[in-house]
Amino acid sequence: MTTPPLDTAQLHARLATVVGADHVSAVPSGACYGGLLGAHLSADLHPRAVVRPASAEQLQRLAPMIAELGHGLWSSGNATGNGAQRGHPRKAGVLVDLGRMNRIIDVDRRGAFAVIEAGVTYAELAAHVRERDLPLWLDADTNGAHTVAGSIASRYTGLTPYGDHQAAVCGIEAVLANGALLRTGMGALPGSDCGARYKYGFGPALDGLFSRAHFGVVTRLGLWLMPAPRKFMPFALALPDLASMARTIDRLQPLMLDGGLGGHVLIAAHSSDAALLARLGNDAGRSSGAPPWTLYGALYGVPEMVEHHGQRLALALDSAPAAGQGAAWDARLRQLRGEALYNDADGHDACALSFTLLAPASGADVQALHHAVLTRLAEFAPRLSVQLARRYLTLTVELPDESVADGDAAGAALAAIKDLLGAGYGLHSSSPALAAELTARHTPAGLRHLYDGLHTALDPYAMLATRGKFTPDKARRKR
Amino acid sequence: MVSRRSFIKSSMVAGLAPGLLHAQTADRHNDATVLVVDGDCADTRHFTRQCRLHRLEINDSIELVETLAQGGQARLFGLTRDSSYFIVASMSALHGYRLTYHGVHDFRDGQCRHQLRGEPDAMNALVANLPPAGALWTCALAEALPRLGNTQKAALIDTQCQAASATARRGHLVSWCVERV
Amino acid sequence: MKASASPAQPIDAANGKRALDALRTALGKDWVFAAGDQALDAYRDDYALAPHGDTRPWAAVAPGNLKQIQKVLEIARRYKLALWPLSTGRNLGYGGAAARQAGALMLDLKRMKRIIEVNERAAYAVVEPGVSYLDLAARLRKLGGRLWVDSTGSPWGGPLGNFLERGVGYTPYGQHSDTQCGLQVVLADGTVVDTASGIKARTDNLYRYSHGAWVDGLFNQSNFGIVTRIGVQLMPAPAGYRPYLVTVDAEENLQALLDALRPLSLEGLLPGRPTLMTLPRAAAYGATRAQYQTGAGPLRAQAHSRLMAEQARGYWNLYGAFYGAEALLDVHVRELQNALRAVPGARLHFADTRADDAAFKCRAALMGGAPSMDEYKTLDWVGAGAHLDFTAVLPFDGDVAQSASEAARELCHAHGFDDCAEFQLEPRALRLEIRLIFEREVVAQQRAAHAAVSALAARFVSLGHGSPRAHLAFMDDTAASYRWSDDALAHASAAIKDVLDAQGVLAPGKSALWPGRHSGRRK
Repeated sequence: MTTPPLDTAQLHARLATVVGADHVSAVPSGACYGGLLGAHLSADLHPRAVVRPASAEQLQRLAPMIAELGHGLWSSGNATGNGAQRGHPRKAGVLVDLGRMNRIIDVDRRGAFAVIEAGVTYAELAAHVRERDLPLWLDADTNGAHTVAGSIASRYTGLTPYGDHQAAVCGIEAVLANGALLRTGMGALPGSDCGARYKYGFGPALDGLFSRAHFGVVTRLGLWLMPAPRKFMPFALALPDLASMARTIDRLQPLMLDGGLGGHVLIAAHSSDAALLARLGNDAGRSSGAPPWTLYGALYGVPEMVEHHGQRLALALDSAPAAGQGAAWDARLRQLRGEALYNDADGHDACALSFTLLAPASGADVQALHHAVLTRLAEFAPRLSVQLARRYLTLTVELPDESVADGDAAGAALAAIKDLLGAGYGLHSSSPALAAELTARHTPAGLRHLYDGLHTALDPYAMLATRGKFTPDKARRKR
Repeated sequence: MVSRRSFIKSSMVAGLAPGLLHAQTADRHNDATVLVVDGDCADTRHFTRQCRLHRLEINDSIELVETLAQGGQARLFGLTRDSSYFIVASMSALHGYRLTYHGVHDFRDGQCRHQLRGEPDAMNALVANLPPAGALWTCALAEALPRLGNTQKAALIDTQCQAASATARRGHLVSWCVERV
Repeated sequence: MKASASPAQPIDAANGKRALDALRTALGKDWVFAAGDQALDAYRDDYALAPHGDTRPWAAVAPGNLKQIQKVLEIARRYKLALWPLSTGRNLGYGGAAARQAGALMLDLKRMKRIIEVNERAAYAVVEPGVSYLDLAARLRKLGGRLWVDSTGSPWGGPLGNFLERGVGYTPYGQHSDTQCGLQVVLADGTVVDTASGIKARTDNLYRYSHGAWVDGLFNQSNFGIVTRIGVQLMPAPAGYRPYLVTVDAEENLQALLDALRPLSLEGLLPGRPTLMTLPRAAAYGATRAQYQTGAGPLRAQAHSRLMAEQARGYWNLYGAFYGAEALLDVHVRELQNALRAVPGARLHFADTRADDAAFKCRAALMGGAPSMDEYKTLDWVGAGAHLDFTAVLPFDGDVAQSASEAARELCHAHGFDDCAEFQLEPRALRLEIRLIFEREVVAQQRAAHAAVSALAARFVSLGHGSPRAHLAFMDDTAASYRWSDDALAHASAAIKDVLDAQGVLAPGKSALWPGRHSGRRK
């Protein structure tokens, strides 16, 4: 690793010339930023400073400065670390914390959209909407302290019809490694009033480069919000075993595909519900008689339409959709309303080890995933939950911290993931500790070659993430 | 597997550049001829009444294409709006047809202007017969078209004529012939 | 206005011959078309605009597979050729099958015309460049008609080309960029990139965003690579279908109509992309303008009145459709009727009373997953017609739309054209498409169409309304309008271009992406 030109104090002083000394500090010790930093990362690879710009303009000055100082650039929306991006792994780094950039620039009631800075949290946006009595729903992460921008970067999916957070983004503003401030889509036309209303401008769309990737630091984005539905009909269904879950998925899939079920459906294992309740400080814990799996979903819309689809649902499920009861239901109900469930700002809430797999939306596939995961990970008491989207489903596996202490949980998790990738399933996301091991292997050669090229173009100082050298034809010659 | 010939034909939007017209070949293997008409108006009704050919109406140019794909007809005549001609000429090219006659009949401003391209004898005959027919020019056309291509001359000529329109109707029609080779 | 790059340097005769020989060796001589070959005539804009100039290609090749494309790329790099990839070549109104400049080597991908997959359970298809909407629709019909394809108004074109150009349709799957699911792309250096989530994975094409950066958008309206496959989501055939027409007599009630419809649109009660047409636009399906007015110049009020009376339409004509079971259709209709109470002179019509409405027939087909070529009938408005479109995006706001509509009409009229325009309704924005219909063979009208678009572009940019699509002739100016923050977006795109295609072999000038324009690091 190259020796950086400045010692830590000098580095902090230089950064302070942009943001002021109050807004430069050392990186907190221990696990923080949602597991971005922690035991899995050796001390010498931790960023050497956390800097908190107040504005895009400050960030525009920081980025080239950090580059000039030979450092890598890490970024996080705030201390929770959701959607955080690592800098170059073999350089000393500076972590940009966007938490001070938390202005809600606009929430347009008639247009049902918001324009917000990257540090805005779901809690802040929800409060704003509530205080003004706006008939708009969010689709929040379960942790209200998460930033909206970070949620999009992590490709989080919620349960309402606006649950695909990536699809709800409209227009991005970002600072590139060279300090340029860029707007995508219609936002790139001076004076445009459609930056957050229409996703596409002219020419290639660069928006996707700021999602689950680090070709720039997002400073602002447009977000579509759901008009409050006239009727909201949440329901829960107990599923006695995996086979019945599989059958239910197969019967629900056509309704999801044709839009009868407009939102996403969650199927939580009992352990997952229990863990959520524990997180909420509710000791309902393991109640006997709780079903192994519970399905949660909702219908949203005009009352007659909701009733119509409710009847279709009843036919599909062999019983009329009904509200659940109990503490877990109360929590999931709020999730179906797009509300955050808790507000944990210090970034310790994430499971150290978790991953989410991607599969076709079929019962057979969910059974295969389940089997493969348990084969490798049963001893670690994984908490499982399934989420249905229109054309695919995800299986989220969380290994509780207490069971991870013994044994090689990370190794077992990686093995399970590799088994499933080998069987043709996909990986949606994984916690930072696992991500580092997976990314290189998981990405096909052609795509990696393209990423290398994009980094060469947009990250010439190699600040932002791993960069292979883009040699034309390299991917082909490697075969 | 797409053959080179059909590939080239599928690339062309035949007929928009006059240079793409081809002389009719001598080898006419099939007499099956279909009359294609659209743009329901007095003119086209006269045309169909006068023309003694089997008629196919374009309600839907896509259906026409499917008919062409079945390959039954060796020759199609048409009196259609320009948009239908545009589509037919291009689509029929996909199935191995060539444009062997093309006429533009523009009667939008009280005059009836005919611009014709095809084999010399047939064109000269049309030039002689269209003006005196006046408002019934489509009848004259209907009589002339089936006789197209009885000669084997290779060259094509451009010609035009004009007549006062005896009808108050204003429009723009295209007559054409595509032939499978 | 940004200066265009100088025209491509023509290849010298000796190298040209070597290049052609290499191409013939690589592809077989049947698939290489050189100067003098009649096949080259096909590569032009059928609706040529006189000021756009000559764009004749140097030669054309038609590769049959990926390997052959890679060979062509290798030859292009060696001899510094400029490739112009095209799929079905039916981009009529935006440049057709023409390249941006003369002297290109056309890379005609029509031989690659397989429908690779139709996945009925997950409702998507994967197609090659040569597959047309007609082909795909026929296949879906053959499979039982349980899936609809969202076709454009020009279904002899294909999904791959259309999606890459950010074209649109009119069903709930009409915003094509939202339903694109995975690409296979060949980069300039020959690398093949599959953007779907894995390596021949079960989940390919199911999850639109790959594991890392979501790169698909880089290949729309772009020249960063040659797209050889595309995933396209398909709509499950609904239980029922009810197309409708809303007519509003007075031009000045546009504002009231849109403001009344906006809440419905946001709630998802105006599914698909309902299309609100002006009188001339809707009338053109079933009439020629000469029937209403002789001589040049736009239709005057008297002609408008006659048209409205004879075709039973208003100045504004909204064609839309509802989807779902009967009971749901009735709810949709009721909601629409309630909303329309606030709009003076608004009337709601259905198929039963529109048997003579040629526009209704065409739009009902397009909104109903049945490809129709009837859009072309509108070109008969002027006799032997062609068209040039200008598109701009506006907020879904009655006031803004009313002003924009008036500006559009004023400029169309000033250049001698009728106001053939439509607003396509999306939940938060309106896409205004102004269609200039001109006589194909009349040079003065070609010039007038070109001038009209320039004037429209200048006005709309000054109003802050951007164009999401442009004809080849207008790409430089359109791209230049997106200049926020010292052209940051253009510089970033140019930087990407200069790395991915350092030699500039792919479609130079497409979307104003010219090789070698990146000026280096910004301060």
